[in-house]
Amino acid sequence: MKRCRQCDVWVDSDGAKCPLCYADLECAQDGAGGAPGETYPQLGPAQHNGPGYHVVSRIFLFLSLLAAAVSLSVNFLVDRMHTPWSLLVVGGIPFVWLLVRYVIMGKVNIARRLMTQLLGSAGFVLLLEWFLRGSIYQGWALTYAIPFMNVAATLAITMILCVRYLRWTAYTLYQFLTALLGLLPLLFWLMGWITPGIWWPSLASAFYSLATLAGMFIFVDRKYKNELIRRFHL
Amino acid sequence: MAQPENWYRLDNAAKIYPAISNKRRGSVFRVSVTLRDMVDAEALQRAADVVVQRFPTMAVRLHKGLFWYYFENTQASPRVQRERPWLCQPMDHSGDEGFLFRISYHQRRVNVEMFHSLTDGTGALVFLKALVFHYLREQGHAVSSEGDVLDKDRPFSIEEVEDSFLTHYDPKNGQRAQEELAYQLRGTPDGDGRLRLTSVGMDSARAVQLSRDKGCTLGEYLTALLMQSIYLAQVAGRPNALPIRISVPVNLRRFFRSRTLRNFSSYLNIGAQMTPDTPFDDILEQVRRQMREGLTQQNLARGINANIQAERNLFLRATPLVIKNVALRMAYRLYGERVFTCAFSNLGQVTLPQSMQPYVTRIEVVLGLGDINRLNVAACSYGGRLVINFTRSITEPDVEKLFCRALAQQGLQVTVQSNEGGAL
Repeated sequence: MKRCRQCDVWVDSDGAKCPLCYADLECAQDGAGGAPGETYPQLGPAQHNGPGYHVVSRIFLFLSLLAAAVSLSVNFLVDRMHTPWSLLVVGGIPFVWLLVRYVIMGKVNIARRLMTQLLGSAGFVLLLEWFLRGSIYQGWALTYAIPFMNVAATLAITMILCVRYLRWTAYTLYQFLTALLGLLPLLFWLMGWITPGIWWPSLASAFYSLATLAGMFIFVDRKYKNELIRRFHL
Repeated sequence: MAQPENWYRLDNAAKIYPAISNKRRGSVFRVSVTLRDMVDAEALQRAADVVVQRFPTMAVRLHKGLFWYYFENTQASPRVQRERPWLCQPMDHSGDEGFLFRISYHQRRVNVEMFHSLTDGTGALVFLKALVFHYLREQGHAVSSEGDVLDKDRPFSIEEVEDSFLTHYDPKNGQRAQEELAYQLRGTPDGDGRLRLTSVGMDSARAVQLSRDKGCTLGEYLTALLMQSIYLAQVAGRPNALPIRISVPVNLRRFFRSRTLRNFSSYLNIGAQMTPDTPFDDILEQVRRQMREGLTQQNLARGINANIQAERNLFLRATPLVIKNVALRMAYRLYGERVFTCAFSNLGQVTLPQSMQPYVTRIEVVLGLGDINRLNVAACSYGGRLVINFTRSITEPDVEKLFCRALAQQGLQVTVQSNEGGAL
């Protein structure tokens, strides 16, 4: 045990200085109990273990912003944004980022990534549709693209659930939510947002969702209901 | 072992922590015992394997629901690790087994670091006592629980998992008023975000005597002394500074009947008016008055109500978790840690069964830190020694220095340990 005269305290330390006032410590003969020795693992010099500097990410981020800025500028210079094609580039860049960083490189549960991709793609096709308004392709996203993407996502999650059934608890929530999203095209149809007369993709999507939901309740036992209660408790 | 269900809702106090925790703010605290002999890692691992079976509320993983987080029991066993110099680091929820507590050892000491959502200081001490009890058994010592340890043979009780906030919620009691902003310590932040620990030990009987002479409790005395130390270290001479407030956690089990092992604590924010010439006795008087007014069942019930009412609001409940988290984070940034300068958690006297006492020489508590407050203090006493642990995220130890010098001036023999001694 060492002693700091400045603070009038005993210091149990291997160091030479008082941890309170940084004055030199004295070795005292009349130690007040306790063997000298390291009591806590000691902090070394600072190491800066902070988040790494991801050079590749930063290059791509820079290029993305540059591409968006160049598109907007060229679009404005050429026809004063009369045909706003640059908005497709600006809207497409976040979609590609979502696809690459979250869906492909992401570490979270794959069902959740698929659902996120579904939502991201739906957003992008809606942007495309807005761009194509007035042309013969109007209504394309809500009539065809979104219903088929719903079916594809629901089917993909079902396949994953069947293959990796040991981890079913992690996937059921997203299977359930994706199946619910699959009912939305029915709403598009009822609201008259789709191309008149072409209602079969919406109906197919809703039918497939209902079939999936029914299948989930019939083929899986009580554990599955408990999982839903857990995940949805208010 | 009887287990009520294999999943739990987070209790009322626990709900905030997953939302506000990040790489900088772990919401982690630590309870430790120092043993008479060097720790045997293998025996500690065996004890840990036994003890997690007894505490179903601890052996859980955190999962996300659509509206709330929830805990799910895990059958895995936590891996005992060597203590690292980085204190109270955030739990890695997605790590190996995803445990929300961490058992570590260093020489003679056994630590349990706990994510605050699991339990409060009282619950953590119960867990630590059981762990040490089984460790001593593994070592072949003839220890008995004497009714003071929840060892594996004590039957599990459903009361241990109860959310006592809900049990003691009574809307008739009204709510607590909004708090005001408090002074925040200034200083040089450590570039690595490491926490510096200063452990201050003294004879507890003499410290109690010191407070008795002033006609107050030890908790009141130490709170007032801490407040004066902060004032003299930084605020004196800055008349426009925000007031210093010390957040004192209150163990609600002392005021409401509960045997829960989950969170059941509240807090009081204690402030005082000071000038550089204010005598210590005046500060002490102000602290004592606020403590005595605050520590009534009625006032504490108001604190419970404020939280429960927010939690029961149907609109809030039906908001998806993602949005709730953003809102909670923003609210916490504005009102969470900013309404107090530092926390002072006093766990009081810790008891152990007579048969365990010869093997345990010291018990202590360490609080982690967020990114707004720069200092937290925790105290408890065992075996005639009072240990007060200061954790700080700034490099300057001025508050600790003034605090220790004031105690030494009162004739106490103060012993200081630190985790940065080797670097000095």
